[in-house]
Amino acid sequence: MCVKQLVIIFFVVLAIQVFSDSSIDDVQVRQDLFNVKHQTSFVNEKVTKQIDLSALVPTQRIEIKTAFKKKGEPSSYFVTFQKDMSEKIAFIKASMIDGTSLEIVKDNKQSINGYSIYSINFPKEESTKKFHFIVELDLINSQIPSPKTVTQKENCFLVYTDNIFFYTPYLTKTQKTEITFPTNFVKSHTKLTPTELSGKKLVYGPYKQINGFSQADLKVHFQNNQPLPRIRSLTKTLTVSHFGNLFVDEYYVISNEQAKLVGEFSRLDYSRNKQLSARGSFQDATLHLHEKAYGFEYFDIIGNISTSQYTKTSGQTVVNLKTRFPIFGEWKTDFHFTYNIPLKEVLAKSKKTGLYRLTFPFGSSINAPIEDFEMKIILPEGTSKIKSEIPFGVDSQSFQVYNEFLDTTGRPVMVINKESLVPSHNQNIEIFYDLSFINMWRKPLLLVSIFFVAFCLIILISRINLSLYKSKKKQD
Amino acid sequence: MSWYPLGRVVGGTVFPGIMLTAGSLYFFLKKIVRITVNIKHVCVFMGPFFASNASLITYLFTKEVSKDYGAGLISAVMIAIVPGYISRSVAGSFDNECIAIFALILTYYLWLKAVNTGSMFYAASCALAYLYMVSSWGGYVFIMNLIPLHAFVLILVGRYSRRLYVSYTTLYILGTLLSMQVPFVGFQAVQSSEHLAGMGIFGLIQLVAAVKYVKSILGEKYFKLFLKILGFIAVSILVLFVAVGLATGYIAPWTGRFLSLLDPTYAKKYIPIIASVSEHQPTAWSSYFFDLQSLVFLYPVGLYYCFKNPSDSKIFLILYAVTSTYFTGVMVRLMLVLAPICVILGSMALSNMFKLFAYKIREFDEEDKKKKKAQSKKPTNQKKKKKTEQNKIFNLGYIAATLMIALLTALFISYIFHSIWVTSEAYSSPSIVLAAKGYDGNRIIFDDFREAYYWLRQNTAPDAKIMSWWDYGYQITAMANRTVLVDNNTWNNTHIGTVGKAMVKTENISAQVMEQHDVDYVLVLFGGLIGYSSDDINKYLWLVRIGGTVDPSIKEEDYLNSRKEFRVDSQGAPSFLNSMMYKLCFYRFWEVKTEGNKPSGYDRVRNTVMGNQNYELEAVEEAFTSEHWIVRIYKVLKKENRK
Repeated sequence: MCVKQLVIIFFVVLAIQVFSDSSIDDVQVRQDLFNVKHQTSFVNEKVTKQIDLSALVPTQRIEIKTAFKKKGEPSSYFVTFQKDMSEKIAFIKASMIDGTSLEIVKDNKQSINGYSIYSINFPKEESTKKFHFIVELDLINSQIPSPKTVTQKENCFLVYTDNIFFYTPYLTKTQKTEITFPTNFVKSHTKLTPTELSGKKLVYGPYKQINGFSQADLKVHFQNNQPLPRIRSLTKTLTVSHFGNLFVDEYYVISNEQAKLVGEFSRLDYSRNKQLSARGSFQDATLHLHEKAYGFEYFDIIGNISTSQYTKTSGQTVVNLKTRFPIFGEWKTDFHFTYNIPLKEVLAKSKKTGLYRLTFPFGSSINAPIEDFEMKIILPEGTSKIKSEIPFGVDSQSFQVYNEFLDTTGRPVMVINKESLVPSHNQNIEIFYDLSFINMWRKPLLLVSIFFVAFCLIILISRINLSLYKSKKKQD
Repeated sequence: MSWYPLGRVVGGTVFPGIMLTAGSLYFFLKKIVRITVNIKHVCVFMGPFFASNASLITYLFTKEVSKDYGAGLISAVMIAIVPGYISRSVAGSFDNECIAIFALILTYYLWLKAVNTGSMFYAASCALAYLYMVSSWGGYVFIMNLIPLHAFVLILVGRYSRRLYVSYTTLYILGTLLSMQVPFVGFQAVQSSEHLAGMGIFGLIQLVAAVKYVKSILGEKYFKLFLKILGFIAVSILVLFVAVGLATGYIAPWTGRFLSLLDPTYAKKYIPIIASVSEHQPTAWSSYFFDLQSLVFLYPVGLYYCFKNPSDSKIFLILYAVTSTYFTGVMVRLMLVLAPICVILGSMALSNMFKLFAYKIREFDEEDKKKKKAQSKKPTNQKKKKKTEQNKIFNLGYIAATLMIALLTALFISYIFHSIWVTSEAYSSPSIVLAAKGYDGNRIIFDDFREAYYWLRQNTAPDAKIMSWWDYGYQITAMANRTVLVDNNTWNNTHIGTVGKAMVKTENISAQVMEQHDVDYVLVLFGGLIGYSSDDINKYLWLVRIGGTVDPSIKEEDYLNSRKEFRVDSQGAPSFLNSMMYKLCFYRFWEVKTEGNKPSGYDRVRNTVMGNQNYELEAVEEAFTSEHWIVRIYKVLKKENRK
């Protein structure tokens, strides 16, 4: 049976190789993927792939009903993605249909040549061999404007490409793919019967008996006049002061990924009719901050930006920032936003370990994907045993030393870097560290001792007389 | 980069003082004290910091002149808030003048100290202060003319002394040598006619010293003959020097700015770029009161005290007051130079008058006490006591003195209130952010300049060349970080004239000029939508005049209608209504309704409907217009892309 299926898959691969002009590398990779030992261990009974293109960040929700076909304990379930898809995945999450989350881990050993393999381990106590679970993806760089340039009064269109089928190593009995568009207007889409477009919804399938690693190119071209804000880079600097304050500086470089504006930008048209002449542009950004945040500053290199508001609601502070000018397609701007939070709101001391625990959200609360994220946590001088706990993988973590205000040995800075963030990454991370009480008083003591020494010196100097002869007044 | 494509030698065209000061303060704070501070913060607080220094120096100066602590203290209070100086020393005014006034008062203080003591140490310190002044502001010429004038007057009135000789020669030699180290000044310090007075007096003082020495050796009889011969030789040598100097060009001709000081109409006639600056206009009478308030009345009183009891330093004060008053009449900007002397003289007047009347009251009190003592010795009589009390109340002198003190105090208080009011109303708001009150009393902020500049910074090619009138050159360079053709450092009038030409000629000619200069964007200011009056249309005639210096075909009368009026409505001159600047400013403005009961295209600055309407732009396209239309930026189209 195993051999038979292998043969079938081999032919499928051959067919794909013939019809799509894939390189030898791809064949090699797919053959490597055959080595996923458990490819026959599961059979997907029903797969529903839902692609949501209406939101700013396109998401995929793949609902899988699968059955373990071998004896014994169910092994890992593998979720695979092709090269171009795996580059677009910014965030991945898996959960059982009842909501209990599943651990999904990228298998770096087996992910080759851009193809990525994630493995899911089902809970051991599960006695059945059938599983019903959901894999959710947040995508980045997945929509491309087409045409690439528009004038101020033209509509904007986007192109989204994907695989119609769920790219899985296992046999799938029935599969359906649903796409939701932001508007009714869909310029073109791939057809693979049965295909049905009604309103904002495009449905492919259901298709029966799909072999593993099946592929059918999907391309949709649709209207989207919403802006596509994109944070090109965000540097978030936290300065922890144990005298009771946490200072946060967020530096944003923000752009619009919509089609580039060419020709005139007419302020008259823009202010007269935003519906017709402000397509794809934005001027607002909303931040959701900690309830106790205070002392906001919104500025760029040439000074304060005079348009911002904040409101305190229960549980959070909502800050509405307006950029200096409207951001059209491929325009950009940058700004700093800084604020303070009372330290006691985000810092706790563990009684068990004696370590401090700083809890702070990662990423940005602005609803936009981030290309390049850097978080710097500047801890007080003398901090030791610094550890971080982040619920997802990051690209790098390193330490720097920072010198400011009377620092002697310098403050340790933890630097966390990650590329391709989506709003789902806006989760709390935790930093643990140790700081002895005496370190807090280092600077006051330093100042006190400097002044003490200075006064002592002055006292000494004023009492030393180095003159060779006594002045006349004294002689008198 | 600025002044594309010429470029500009920064060291040779600006005074380095303010940059050096800010840089060294920043270095001191950041690297030595290790305070986290941004260079911007240092720059912002330079004004107030140096104003406080100036306050301290003014105290010393006044004390040195009047030998009166009270006057010194009053002058320190007054200079701290005098509107004429606060206009340049509020936080954020990072200008040459903000350190120059401090340097000016310091130099004068050290000069008087040197003259009063005859100490070479003070004269040398004065030379150092003079160096600082030279490196920071073009107004140093005022020092190099006032001090020689002082020396000259002292010699004339027979107050020549060895102290004067020592201090003047030390200052002149050291000061001139030091000032030549500043690249912007260089050999001008000995060559240009502005510095000639210093050199002449230097020669004269040598002569006087020599004559005094010879007189002490020779007898009266021979001395007269000697004097005649010497005078003849001296005059002929001087004439020869000046003639040779002028002929060979070693002595530079009078530069425009200085000449316009002596002859207020000079600049208007010959150098439009100097006359076009509002700060170079003659001062209106009201602005004397606005910037000096009660000092206007007090400083003549101070002058009176100077005349009444003259000394070397009081003569200096008189000269300073007279010359600076004259100069402010020529140029508003020099109000800054007048403010310190007004403060010093005013505080001397106040202090003297306070003293006068306070002594009067004390005299009465002492008399009273004496009488009381006398009475207490005698057996008291109730009737007599009442009489004395009545005497005290109705004593006219006592009442007058009390009244005068009350009046002076009121004057002083009103000065303080006025200064605070002026500072908050006129001098505190940044000129780059405009504010207005809305119908509901809310403050509306017009942040158009920074909006447009930041747009340029973010969304144009980094090497884009931007053409605008020179007033916005520095702002574009700093805020937009882009290359400009001309900026506020008006060192090349031809280039500015070319920009003027490109703005006032028709679109075709303008396009040619812009193409020749590789211009990518044109930036204009237009206030017609919200009523911002200092826009490019109101500066238009200056563009014409300055443009006319490079292209004689640009004549002012062409831009005025038959009744010699400059109008933007349909009665305006056709060459204006078809010029590039008009087209850029008013493009599609005819579609806008600015006021409810007025037709569309109503200009709220000129209070009229725009004349030339419904035209198309061919050589340029609108690239960005700020929210309230104050800044309009156009992209220059390449020839093949034009309509």
